[in-house]
Amino acid sequence: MRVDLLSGLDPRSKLVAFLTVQALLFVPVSHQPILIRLFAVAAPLLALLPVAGRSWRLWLRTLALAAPLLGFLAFSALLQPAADRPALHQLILPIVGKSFLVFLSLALFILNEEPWRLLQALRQIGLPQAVVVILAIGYRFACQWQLELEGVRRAWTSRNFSTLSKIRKVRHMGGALPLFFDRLLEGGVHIHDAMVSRGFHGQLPTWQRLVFTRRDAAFLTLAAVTATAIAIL
Amino acid sequence: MTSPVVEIRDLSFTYDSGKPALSGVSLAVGRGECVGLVGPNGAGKSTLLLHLNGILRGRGDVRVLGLPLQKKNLKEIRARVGLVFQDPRQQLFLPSLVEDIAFGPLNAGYPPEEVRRRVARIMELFDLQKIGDSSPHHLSPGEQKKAALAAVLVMDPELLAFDEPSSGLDPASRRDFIELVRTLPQTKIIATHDMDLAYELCGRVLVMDHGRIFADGRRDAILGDAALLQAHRLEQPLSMLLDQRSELS
Repeated sequence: MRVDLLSGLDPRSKLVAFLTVQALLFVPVSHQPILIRLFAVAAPLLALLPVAGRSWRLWLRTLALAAPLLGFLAFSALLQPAADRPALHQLILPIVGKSFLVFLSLALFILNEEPWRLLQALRQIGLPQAVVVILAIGYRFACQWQLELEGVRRAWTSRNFSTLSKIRKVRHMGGALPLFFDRLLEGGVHIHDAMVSRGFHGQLPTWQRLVFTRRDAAFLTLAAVTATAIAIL
Repeated sequence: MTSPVVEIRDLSFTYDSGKPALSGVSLAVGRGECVGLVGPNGAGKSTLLLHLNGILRGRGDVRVLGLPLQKKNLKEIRARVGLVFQDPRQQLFLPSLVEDIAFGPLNAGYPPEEVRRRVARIMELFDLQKIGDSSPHHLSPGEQKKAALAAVLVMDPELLAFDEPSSGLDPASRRDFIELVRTLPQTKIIATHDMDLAYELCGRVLVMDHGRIFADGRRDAILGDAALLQAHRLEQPLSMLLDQRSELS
């Protein structure tokens, strides 16, 4: 059975944990070498990974997406003369190491959360409403784009698009792009009409559905103690 | 007729593209009526429905629930008129179904407890509790249609306007939807070219074409006039013909 100790937590607690990790990674709070600092942050995060449900897969997936860039950075650092590799220690290692840990914290605290809960949490920790409205509609539109793209892909595949030469493929895709955006815009107008018909006037009110429990208090206390220990290391 | 819920006099509307969509439409709908608005594609049915909620505002006189369609009345009109769009995917836009259903009451300024009560009641009525936290675009078309109706009914509207309510539904979902709409006590205006749906639900039928109303009358008189329907690219409902045949036999 998959263990997921983080799933019941209030997304606000997770957001706080995520932001704390970013602060530890990017705000220079201690004078220890970068490797030690990275290891100090990585240890508790890695300890959480086995009990955080599908976070493993999410971490691997985000790493796979960033792999070409990280691989290029690591490879270019290895090309430095062996005797003195300033780029490896001063630049590449922090970038690659921090990227690994940012993705890990994303997988643990953000990507495994329901989008609507995250949006509510963002709203309730004080993010400006306009930003939350844009994110909510952006999320909805991302799904709409996915559907539209899938529809176009199927329509093309059914008419032997794959057998065309590359030049003709590119030409077709270029020609379809304005039409695709036109359809998206039309969809957007319909969505706006539907919002207005239900009283939308530029505000996106929400109501408190998130519950802060004792488990959240325990988690945040533990996170605060760990973060303080790392900071004064 | 009882006091009209909708009164439209000489309404005309032209889209920005220059395409005229409505010309000289006049109509009155009484409280509790269920009116079918039938016509071919591009007849102006959806455009007319959008005027009931003030989304579009053309030339002419429109009164909804006794209120003239003016900017100062729009908030109240939108709270009392429920518009169910043709494509529920465009109506449901928030990340979770619960939030989408709560959208109308929150915009109307109801206190959180009242919003919670209304949402819980409508979710139970439509049996949507189990999918409340799902993203609307992951639901089946039947569920989406039901959810779109729930998102409108949560406001307890006095007038319901449906735009092609049966499009995209399989026969069972369509039947469920018809039975559900039949139980609703509100005044209803249903724009459709599903003639069987109009026959089953509406006591009065209007034929629209080229932005005008060509016929308005009792269901049997309008839907029984094959020549009229054919002239406007429509057909008699099959269920009506079957009913007539069984009466004769």
